[in-house]
Amino acid sequence: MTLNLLDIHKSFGSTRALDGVSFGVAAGEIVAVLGPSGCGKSTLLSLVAGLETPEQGDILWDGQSILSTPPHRRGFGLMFQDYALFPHLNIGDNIAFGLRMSRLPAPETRQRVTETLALVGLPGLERRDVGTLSGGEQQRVALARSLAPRPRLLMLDEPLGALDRTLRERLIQELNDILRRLEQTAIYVTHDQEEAFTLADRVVVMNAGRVEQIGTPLEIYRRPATPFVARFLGMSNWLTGTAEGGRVTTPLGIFPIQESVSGPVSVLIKPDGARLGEQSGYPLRGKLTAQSFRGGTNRVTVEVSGNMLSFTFPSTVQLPEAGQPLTISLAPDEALLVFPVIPG
Amino acid sequence: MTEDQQHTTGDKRTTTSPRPHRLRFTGYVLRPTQYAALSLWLAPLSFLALFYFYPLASILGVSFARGEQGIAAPFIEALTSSSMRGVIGFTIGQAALSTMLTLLVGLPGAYLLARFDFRGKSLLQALTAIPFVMPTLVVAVGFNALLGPRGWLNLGLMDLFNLTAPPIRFANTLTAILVAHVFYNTTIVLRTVGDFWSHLDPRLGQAAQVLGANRWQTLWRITLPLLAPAIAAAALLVFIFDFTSFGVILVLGGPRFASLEVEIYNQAVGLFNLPLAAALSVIQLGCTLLLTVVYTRLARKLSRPLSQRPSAQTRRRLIGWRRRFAAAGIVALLLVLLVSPLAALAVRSVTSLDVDSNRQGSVPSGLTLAFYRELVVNPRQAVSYAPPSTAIAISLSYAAGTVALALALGLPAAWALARDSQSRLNRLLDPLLMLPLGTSAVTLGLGFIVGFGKPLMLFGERVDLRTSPVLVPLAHTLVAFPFVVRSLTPALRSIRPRLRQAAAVMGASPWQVARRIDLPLVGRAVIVAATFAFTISLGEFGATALITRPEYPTLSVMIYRLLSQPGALNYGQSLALSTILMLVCAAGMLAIERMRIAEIGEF
Repeated sequence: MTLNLLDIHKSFGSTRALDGVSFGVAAGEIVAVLGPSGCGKSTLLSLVAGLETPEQGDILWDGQSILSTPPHRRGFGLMFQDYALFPHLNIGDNIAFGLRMSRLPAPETRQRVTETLALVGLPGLERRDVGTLSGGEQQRVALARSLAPRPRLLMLDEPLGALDRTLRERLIQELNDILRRLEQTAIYVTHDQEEAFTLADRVVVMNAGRVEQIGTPLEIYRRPATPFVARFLGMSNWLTGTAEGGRVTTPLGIFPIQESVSGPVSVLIKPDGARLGEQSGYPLRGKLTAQSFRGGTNRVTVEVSGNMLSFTFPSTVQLPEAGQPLTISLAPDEALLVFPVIPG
Repeated sequence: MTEDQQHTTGDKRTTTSPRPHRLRFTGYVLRPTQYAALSLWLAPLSFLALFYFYPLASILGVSFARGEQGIAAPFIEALTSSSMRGVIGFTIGQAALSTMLTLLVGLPGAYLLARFDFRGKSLLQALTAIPFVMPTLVVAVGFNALLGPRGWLNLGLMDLFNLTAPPIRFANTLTAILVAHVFYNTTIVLRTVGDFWSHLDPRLGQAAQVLGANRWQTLWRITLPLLAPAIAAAALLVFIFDFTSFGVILVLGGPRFASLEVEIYNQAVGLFNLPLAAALSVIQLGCTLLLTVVYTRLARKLSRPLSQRPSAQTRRRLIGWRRRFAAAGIVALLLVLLVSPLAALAVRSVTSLDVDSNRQGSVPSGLTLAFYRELVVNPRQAVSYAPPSTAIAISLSYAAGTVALALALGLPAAWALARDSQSRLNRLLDPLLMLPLGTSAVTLGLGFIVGFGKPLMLFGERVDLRTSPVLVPLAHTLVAFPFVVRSLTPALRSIRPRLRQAAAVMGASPWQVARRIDLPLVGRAVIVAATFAFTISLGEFGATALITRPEYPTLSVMIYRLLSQPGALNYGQSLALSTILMLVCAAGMLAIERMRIAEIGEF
């Protein structure tokens, strides 16, 4: 790992912003830090950038602690949430700022500004005033400004948060292309799972100052490590049950499980873990109570023995009318996750 | 029948207002027609015409007409005689020096107050606001009580080292003038720059740091350029105030130093050379008007949004001993500079001094209220003599008159400005209202003497203002007017039509809207404006010194009289009166501070 965070603690007054956070970023890797607002994501970036100091723990770069290095000597880039473009400088001077700080000769600075502007798709705008830019253009200028000094590590703090949905979807793809082409080592902070899953090699899910799970997007989606991660990813079919000897007893029946737990558990039925009709697996009979069309998928609410469960099906699947009976089948090793209930 | 025909054949009103239901909601926020705006402007503009422009025109007339050696003679004298050139040079020089020193003291303080939270901060803010409304004479007397020949420092040193003469010569030096000016105007820097600074996005600086800028580079390339308009506006305002400073230079500078303002007073009152006084006034007016125009331009630039954030988000706590140490140093400097002269004044006014027979000096011998008691005594039982305490009553009634007049004129003007700041009329008139701010008080007083020296014919009536005590509150209203308008306009503007509409939609009648929305929002601003007018009137000295009737002395005139008479008792009485004035003004400013709705002041 190039960057290593070791057991970072940070509080502001009585609120604990970070409570023992550890993870690493390898060279050329993009790590997304995903979590709800207020989970400590932005604080984490401030600490890595050197704008704040942790109370406990260490931050290593290539094995060396950088805690005593001031922010301007760390050689990192940080793209702020609403960009923090310097209002008194034009676009070219904004992008050249970091280059001038590192005393790059003027001709090369000019050259690099031109290249970087072309890279972010705004060629020839050096002399424009930053006040005249649209939200998407500001985002590109901010990206260009943080990329121009060729930082060893680029940190992006909710860079698309202020933009509307269509623009966001286009820019995330562009951002992905640019970062991959540069083989840029990066930390990407967001509360949006789509952004994180699209962009990142690995995702760090955080909650209330702690790391809940670290893994590839697929690993996290397949096997959320904690109920929080599952809920944050929008999974809402919870049952209570009792696990014993590789089986779990729930109000809907008895299912085999892979987890070796016993005692009271929370059982999650994943929304994409069911198929329509009586097929292989465990059939459940119920009544379709509501469905909503979501583009490529249909979200369906099914009442099974008094439990409301929601599932997604491809929209090509033919569904009965609301109120009609419905049979679905669960594939237990795909659809069921079991979490031990922590007393208290 | 088509819809159009229905309209034309129906009730006449439907043709003129096709959507009558909308008019009901917007009825009381009528689109400002020029006619309505003009009617609001009528009273304030007539007042300015009669009591500002007419007196100034009279000065112009005198300076041109009364010169015996030709029209331009007073100007030639003012610009060619070496003594007058010295006066002009001194005025500019001391103002420039004072402004630089004020920035030097004020900027670190502005940074501290803008960017950090610490215990006692609100108290410090309130204390540092006090000098702004302190009457010049109180400031002068305060510094005298601290550093003058009979001040604390000299008394202490004489006692300590057995000296026969005061070792520190502070009175009648340039240092005294500069220090008093710094005392006076640091608040402006703290407020103007501090306010702007506290809203500046701290992430701009952080972005620079992450891009490789060290602390100095960040300050030099990011923070200072962004603060530049605020610093320039503060510096200009400070310069204008220093340029037209009167009481401080008259009392602390002594006979050796004369600024334009003091020279105008001397020429008009001492030497009765009205043409020269008028010519000097015109020169000074030209300078200050130019500066005021530049200032209003800059102030408008300040209001341009520039990635601002709520100040609560930009503040941090003081962490680390170096920061705390620096902060303590700044706080100590501000306290010593801003509080010690006032404290010295208050303590000195209740200290009795015994003449030390062994030496020339005197030593403090205990607490006494003798100076305060003497204020109400008429020592010779003379019928014509008014004891100093009568000045308190006179000042209070003048102040009450000023408050009434300034509000009566300021409210419609502020209302007109708030309704539509973009209208061409308002953009023209807004800087006009600020003109009295850039006009020196002595010039205003001189204008009153010249303009109302002989009876006026108004509406066929013979009005003799020269002998009327109304003249003083009129002059005070002129001085207070810009402050009143500036305090009221943002509050009135903050009542956006949306708020009224929201209330109306929820079922509030126009009267209820006025009572529940307008009044609570404006009420505090009215109190702030009234307090400004009140304290300004109480402390005003420059104009009052010229126009007041000898039998109706105000507090500041009485203080000056007592100060210029010899004797320990007179000095003590001037201290006592100054203390009373200081307490009233400080109470007023603290009240303003408490009333201040977030971001309300434009000063």
